[in-house]
Amino acid sequence: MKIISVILLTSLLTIIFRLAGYFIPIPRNKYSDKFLEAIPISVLVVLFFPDIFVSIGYTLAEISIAIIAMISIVYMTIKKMDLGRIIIISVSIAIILNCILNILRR
Amino acid sequence: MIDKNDFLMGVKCAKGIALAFLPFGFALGLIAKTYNISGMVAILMSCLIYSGASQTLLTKIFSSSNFDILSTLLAAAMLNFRYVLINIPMYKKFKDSNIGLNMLTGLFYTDETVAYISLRKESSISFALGLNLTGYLSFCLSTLIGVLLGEIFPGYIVNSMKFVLYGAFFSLMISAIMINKKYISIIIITIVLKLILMLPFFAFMPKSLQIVAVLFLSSLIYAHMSTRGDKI
Repeated sequence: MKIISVILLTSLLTIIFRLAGYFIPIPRNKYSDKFLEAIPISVLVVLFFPDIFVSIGYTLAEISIAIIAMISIVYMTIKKMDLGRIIIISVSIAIILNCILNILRR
Repeated sequence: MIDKNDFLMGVKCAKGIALAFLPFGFALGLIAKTYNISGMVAILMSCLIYSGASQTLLTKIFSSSNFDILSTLLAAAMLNFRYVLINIPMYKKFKDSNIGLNMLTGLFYTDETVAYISLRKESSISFALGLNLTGYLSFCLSTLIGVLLGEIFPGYIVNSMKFVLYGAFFSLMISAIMINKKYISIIIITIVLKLILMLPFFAFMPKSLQIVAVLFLSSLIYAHMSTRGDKI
């Protein structure tokens, strides 16, 4: 019951936070436009950096796998492949390299 | 009202985001199992809270039987407070749309969908709704799959899959630079601020507060730099 109460209350708070932006008056000027333009880009960076490097693991080999997968993402994004394909290919690279690493460790 | 074509286009374009959410939802289901939390709780959290970071935190807290409701709520609220800031550009973008539709769409915004919609310069709320709903359904479904199948997969495969969500952020960031080279300055400012806040001196600051501080300060600095350049 305690867990369900926390989930329900957290859910309610999150809904309030998600909707609050609608009611916050933002002045229409270039400064606020630039401020709002920066938020989505900033969010991306905040959420992936530096965690992406250690997302697979903390050993040098695992960090290297993450970097190789990142390089593949850069290449595919520049080639303007769609996000779905980029995700599938990059995670496949990460899984295959990690499997090889696990075999080598045995 | 909802434009069917735009909505379906949003659903179609959500493919990448939905795929990125799969391993994350899957991992949440798996984490719940690891912490001996009921699978039902994990699924309920994904469906009602729909915020991976706070769900991971709550799962960890729930694993200790004697937790305090108020401090748990405060911790989760601090993590999710960023949605106030993140959703403002979206509400501003779709301000001419129907209020009910705007708010319904607003319930399902995530960091990824907000970034994606901003980069595509989409101006249709129906597109945003299609994209958001597909992401949401993918997240809930993958949590269910994670709960059901989590124990079958070896740990190193699940670890590799954790890369996916970060990979999606990274790809979106590269796309942003390709669209507008000026965004490099936002990226550099954000990285520098994040590195500064990682110093031991700021260890007292909760991670959630650091996220909000970095978001706010980097956007403020970028806005200041951009408008100052105009005056010159």
